[in-house]
Amino acid sequence: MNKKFIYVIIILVILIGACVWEQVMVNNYLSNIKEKVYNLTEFVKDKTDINSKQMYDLVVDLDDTWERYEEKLCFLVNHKEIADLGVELTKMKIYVVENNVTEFKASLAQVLYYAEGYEHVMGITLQNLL
Amino acid sequence: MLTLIIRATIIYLLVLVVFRLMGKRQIGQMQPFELVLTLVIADLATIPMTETSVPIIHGVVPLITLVVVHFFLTFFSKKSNKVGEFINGKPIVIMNPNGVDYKSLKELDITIDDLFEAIRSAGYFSLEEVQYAIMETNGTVNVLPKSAFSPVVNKDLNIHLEESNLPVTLVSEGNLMKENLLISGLKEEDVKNIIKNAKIKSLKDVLVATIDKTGNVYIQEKNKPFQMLKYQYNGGNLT
Repeated sequence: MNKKFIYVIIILVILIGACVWEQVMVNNYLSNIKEKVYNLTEFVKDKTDINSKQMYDLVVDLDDTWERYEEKLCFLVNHKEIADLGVELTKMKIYVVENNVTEFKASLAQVLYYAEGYEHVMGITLQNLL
Repeated sequence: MLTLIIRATIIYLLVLVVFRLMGKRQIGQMQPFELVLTLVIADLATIPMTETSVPIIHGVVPLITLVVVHFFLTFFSKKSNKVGEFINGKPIVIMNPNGVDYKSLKELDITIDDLFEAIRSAGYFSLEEVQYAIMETNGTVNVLPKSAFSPVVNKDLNIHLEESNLPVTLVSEGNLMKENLLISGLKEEDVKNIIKNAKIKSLKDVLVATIDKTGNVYIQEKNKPFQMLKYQYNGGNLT
């Protein structure tokens, strides 16, 4: 077996390893975000007043988590493609301060939609392959 | 801007590695799919180099994937003639002793003018001079002339000459080639003596110095004409 063959096999193994790691990481991150959004949705479901410290902290926690994940996801996807979720989270903080429940719920739905969309874009699906 | 500089450097180094892994073929020697691959690599490299919102990995992964696929394609085409033929095609005879093979010309989609151009590149200006012309898989045309038009070589004239040998470079642009010293069996002292005999002040002033098996030394000082020196050399001792 020549040297070049060994190099290519090493590269191939690294590539496959990186692909598996990427999928696991993306799934983990987006599942976490989705879970947090579901919890938040459940929490505000029947609420008419969202202007509370607890709510603000929950949104800040979601935003911080996303920022942490986004930093890593930026190594893998176009930064512009995943910027929208962060924008929506910033808006949500304002909606809490302004006590705008309708917009807050709409933003939550939007964040969920983005997270699912990213999952779809970054995942290995037939639509992405072809 | 620093980001762009760093990105460009990374991509440059990667493309360098990619081309080293792909081999040293020149454009004219490439198979058609290799040429396409080279163009694709060039295109892939430019996107993450200039677009900072695109992760560099978007350029790196496709580049590496192409190298891996190319390697396996080449590997299997070497292992199996059928795979090789499928990927590279096979050489086609476009001229034979009966003249131009029109069927082959049509198959290759080349005109008589293209054929003329190809045989002129091979050094023949008349179709009459050509016995065989073969279109190789990389698109070059190789010509076998008719005996009457083939150039005379030493063998035809029964001239026996000593086999030519490859000279070893001892000094290149003022640098002593230590690896070549080992090959030639010479010592640093020998090179210094050669330089001294050539009346060159120091090693740094030498543009190039080579020695062949028969002891012929070609030495040239920077901005000066070259000199030929003759030594008794038996692959180790220089006198």
